[in-house]
Amino acid sequence: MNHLSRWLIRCYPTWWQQRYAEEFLALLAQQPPTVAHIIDILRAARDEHRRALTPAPTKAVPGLRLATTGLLASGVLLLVVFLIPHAVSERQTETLVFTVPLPLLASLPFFVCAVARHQKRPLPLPGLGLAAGVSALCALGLALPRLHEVPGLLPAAVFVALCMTLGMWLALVNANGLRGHLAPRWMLLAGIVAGLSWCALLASALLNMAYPQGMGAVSALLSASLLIWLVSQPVWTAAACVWLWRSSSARYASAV
Amino acid sequence: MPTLPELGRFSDVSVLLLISLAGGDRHGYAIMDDIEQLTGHRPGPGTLYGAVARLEALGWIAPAQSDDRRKPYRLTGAGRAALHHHLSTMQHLVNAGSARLEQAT
Repeated sequence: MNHLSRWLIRCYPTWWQQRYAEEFLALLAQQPPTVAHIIDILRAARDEHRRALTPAPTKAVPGLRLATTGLLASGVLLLVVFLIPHAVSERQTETLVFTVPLPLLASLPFFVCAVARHQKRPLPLPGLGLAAGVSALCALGLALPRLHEVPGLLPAAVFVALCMTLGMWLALVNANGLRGHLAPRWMLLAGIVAGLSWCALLASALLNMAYPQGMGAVSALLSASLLIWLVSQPVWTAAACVWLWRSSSARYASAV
Repeated sequence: MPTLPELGRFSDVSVLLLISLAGGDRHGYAIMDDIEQLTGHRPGPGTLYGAVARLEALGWIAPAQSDDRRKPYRLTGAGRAALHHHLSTMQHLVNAGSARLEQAT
């Protein structure tokens, strides 16, 4: 029975286990769980997981709305910037099957997160994962056969990577809004640097496409922004993962 | 201030838990006993601790000092105010419902 109780507790989120496991085990030792209790505990564990992903309806989080709006605006802006060159490209039909769904799917996480936040509902993580997976497949389909032939291919792949990372980050901000957690400033700074360098990378890549014969300054900008982005993006992503892992256990402590 | 109905399926148990703690500090098992005495129904351990976690996050209950593994909880001032507000609302509903029933008969 002790093994069963411990297994049941492992169904709960980590922060819940750290806070309540000992006393919950003491309770289950006094009252061994029946089948009805096991079902009740499993339902409660599911509710705790859902609660961790649901924005608090009553707690205002300073800066969260600004961060969400900014990320959404940047997502829409990037989507437009990506679509315009492809809309006027002569090679559009060659990669139509991938280029049409790619920006739509890649930007989907932004809108899904926004709708979930607006309606105060849990984030549909399977849907987000599916959107990210399909957009990655589209990016692969776009990139592999014509790696060196299609103009704008590198920015397209970078765009997908950025969209997925931004979508993930937005999901983290959204989920952690529940406990009033916001990302630390240094992590936001890394995100801003990554975002700006990516914008510079995209702009210089587009300029390079428009003027392939010259403009050494554009090439230098392309190289510099690519270098900065390649450094800042992994830092940002790693920081987001570490932050989520740490805040998931610290979440309870800040709530009471 | 959030209201008890916002706690979803844990709202009923939360009211009973607050009422139980209004009578003194109790740990989980004692709360279940008390609720069973009050209502004739014993809440499941998952439901009870779902309510405990939510009420503690709201600051309506807090752990009391104890060296025991079975941690007792106490009602906070905010919890007392929330319970008072909720019971007043229920009392108003009881009065209104009773008056309408008397009018109908």
